[in-house]
Amino acid sequence: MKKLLKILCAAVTLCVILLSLGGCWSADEISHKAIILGISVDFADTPEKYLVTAQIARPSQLKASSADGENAYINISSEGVGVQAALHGFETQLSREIYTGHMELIIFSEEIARSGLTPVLDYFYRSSEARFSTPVIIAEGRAADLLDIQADLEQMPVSSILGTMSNQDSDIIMSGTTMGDLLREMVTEHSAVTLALFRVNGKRAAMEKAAVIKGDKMIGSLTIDQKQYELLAGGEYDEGVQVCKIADGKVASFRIMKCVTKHNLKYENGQFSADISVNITGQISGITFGGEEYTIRAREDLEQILRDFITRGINDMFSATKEINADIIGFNEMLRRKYPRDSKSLLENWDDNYRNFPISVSVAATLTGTGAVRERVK
Amino acid sequence: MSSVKITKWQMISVGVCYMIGAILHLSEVSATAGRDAWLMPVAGLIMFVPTAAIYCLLVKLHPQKCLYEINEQALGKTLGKVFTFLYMLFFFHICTLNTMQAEAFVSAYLLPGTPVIVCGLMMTAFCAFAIYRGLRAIIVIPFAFGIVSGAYLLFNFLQSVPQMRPEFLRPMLAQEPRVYLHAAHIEATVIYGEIIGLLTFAGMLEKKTKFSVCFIITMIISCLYLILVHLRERTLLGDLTPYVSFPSFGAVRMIGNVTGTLSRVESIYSLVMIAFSIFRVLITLWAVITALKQVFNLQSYTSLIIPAAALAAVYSMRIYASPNDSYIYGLNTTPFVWTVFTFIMPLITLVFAAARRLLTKMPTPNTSRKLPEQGAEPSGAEGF
Amino acid sequence: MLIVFIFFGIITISSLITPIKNGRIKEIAIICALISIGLYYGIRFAQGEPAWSPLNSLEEWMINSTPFNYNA
Repeated sequence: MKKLLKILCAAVTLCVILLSLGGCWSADEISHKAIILGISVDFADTPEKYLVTAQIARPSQLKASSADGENAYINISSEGVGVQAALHGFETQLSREIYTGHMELIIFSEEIARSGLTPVLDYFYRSSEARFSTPVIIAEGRAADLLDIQADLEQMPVSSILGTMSNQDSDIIMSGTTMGDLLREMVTEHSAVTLALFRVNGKRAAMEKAAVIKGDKMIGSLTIDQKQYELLAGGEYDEGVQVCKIADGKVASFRIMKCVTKHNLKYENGQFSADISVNITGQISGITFGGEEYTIRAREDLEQILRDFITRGINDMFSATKEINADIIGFNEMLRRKYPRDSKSLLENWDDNYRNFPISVSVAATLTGTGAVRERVK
Repeated sequence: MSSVKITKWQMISVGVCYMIGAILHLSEVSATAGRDAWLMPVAGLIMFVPTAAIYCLLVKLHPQKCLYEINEQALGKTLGKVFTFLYMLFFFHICTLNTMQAEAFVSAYLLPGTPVIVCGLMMTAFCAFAIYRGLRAIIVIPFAFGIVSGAYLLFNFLQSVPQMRPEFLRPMLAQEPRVYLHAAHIEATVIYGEIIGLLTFAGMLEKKTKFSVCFIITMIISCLYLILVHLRERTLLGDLTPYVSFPSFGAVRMIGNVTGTLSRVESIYSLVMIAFSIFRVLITLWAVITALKQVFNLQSYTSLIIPAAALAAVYSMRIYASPNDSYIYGLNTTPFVWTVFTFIMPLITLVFAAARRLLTKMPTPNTSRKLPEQGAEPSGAEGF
Repeated sequence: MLIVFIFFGIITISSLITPIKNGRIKEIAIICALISIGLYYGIRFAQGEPAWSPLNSLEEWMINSTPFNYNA
């Protein structure tokens, strides 16, 4: 009898454990989830409300070819006093519960970026489903329009936008800024960061500028070229193309294979300064001038052209950032790390002191190749 | 004298697994020391040296005795039982705090929507079952589990190396001394100090094995592990570290390799962390039950297991109004409260034990009544 | 959730069977004390109301009335 009771107790306990640990309790089937791939946030027409648009995947339409013309996604919008309230509004429109764990892109409108991102970001970084590695971009105009573009080579607009950004990894113009990078900048005093700024042209979107975010507000923008020079100066440049337009319509294009940037901060006679040295290794990818023969002198001249162009570009970039008072390279952090005590007074008023912070740029360029042909064919 | 014997490496594996279980509440040290948090395990260890010396001396003066038996032999029957009762309350609070934090983590990240009480009851039910099965479950499993999990944790750390940014660690040691003292105090009492639970196993160590050797190896391995955890937190999260609820988990969530083939690696990491947390709950629950048995001179603790486990599960729901409150108190008052249990009380015990030795000039006195056996197997349980 | 509570309640109370059979008064008293305390916290949890926590009370007192805290 005792043995039977023991077996019965063990059996009941096992059943309880199986039912509890098998995930049957409040089961959440993936087929009952509306998987949000991208979210955009705009100000709604109703005052003090946000318009949140979500791009939700339709798994049944995610095929290699969609002959019936059905989209592989749906865009759904909802208004609310906050992002959470708006997302809650989706529940009244959808047959499934929303799931943001696979969210791949967050888009804010320029209007929201200029007014402050903190109220809208709060939901995303508190959410246990959203991840710090999710890219964040700004839309010039309505953010919801970016989710409606024509995705020529991809199945979904979000994939198209992400592809455009990741395409830059090999031909870098813009590096993707994640939510974690943005939050890190927001908690660090006097820092600034750039986010990709997309513009919708008809049914297509192009990444034309970089939005400069300081604190939690957008304070200005950089052109694509300025962004490229920022990456060069910041040491984040990997590979890319540099097109140098010289006088009289002459153009020299270079393929940059490698870039090593060093920052040297100095404190001399009570004055701080920064020296940036950029070492570039590249190849000639196209020139419209010069003799047919390849000479060492010709190579040196081209290297000089590249050097001058990049030096001028980086200096122009620094002028632009000093004008809007945005230390996007992060000199304040570098100074704090190298001279924690001496730089205290300088960094307390960094917003004013950055404008006059002396930065000298030196560029060294080495051209190691001329492409598939050695000499110019006339 | 205990009838169950454990080897040196079993003791070390129990200690290391117990210390790794602290990972879910390292946020206090990260918030206090900021970018220098990775140095605090060393500073905390230095601050912990006197405490460690006290533990080792206590065990040396009372060979083959566990913490509760040492209390009674050093302090006398009445005061010893008072001390044992206080330790029981201390271990009970550690048990419920760990249960609460594990529940919060599980319900936030692993099983959202599951009632928190269910997580708590499942964890404590598992611990109760392990205790009922006997010491084999508590001692042997960490050895195998510890090696496999340790290898995975090392692999996980290596995965995060490409994304680490060492500049987030600078400038080093540029903060006020008060900050380091505060962080080291938290590390020494709240993180390291809870290793006093290992003294409840001291009586089971093999005769030829020195407790101090096991203890020192445990503390060194734990210190190295904590350094790696803090390093990864800081170099991945940077200034975001104090803002994240579970920084070590938040850091792992940022791991993604270059090719993008491996992502969301935090799923396995979180399971390993939960397992270590449950092990910590298991050790402290066992310490509570054996303390109850010692205080009230019971012959067996079997019938106490389930009520104690149920109480731990339910109390963990009400220990604080919110799990975030434990973070606030952990920053401010818990180091002082824990100092009483982890340093002052053992020091008093040591002073009494040393005084007794000096006065009587005898080895540890025999009590007139035979103390209940520590580690005696409950009926129906497997032995070694 | 009620089923879980009832199940664990039954198991907890069933732990009284062996001590009652063997007449171990001390064990019965301790188990009853543990069950009573557990019931207090369980009922407060089920009602969603706060319960007295010795550790919480001690730490609040330390913060408000003693210098033994880092907030002081």
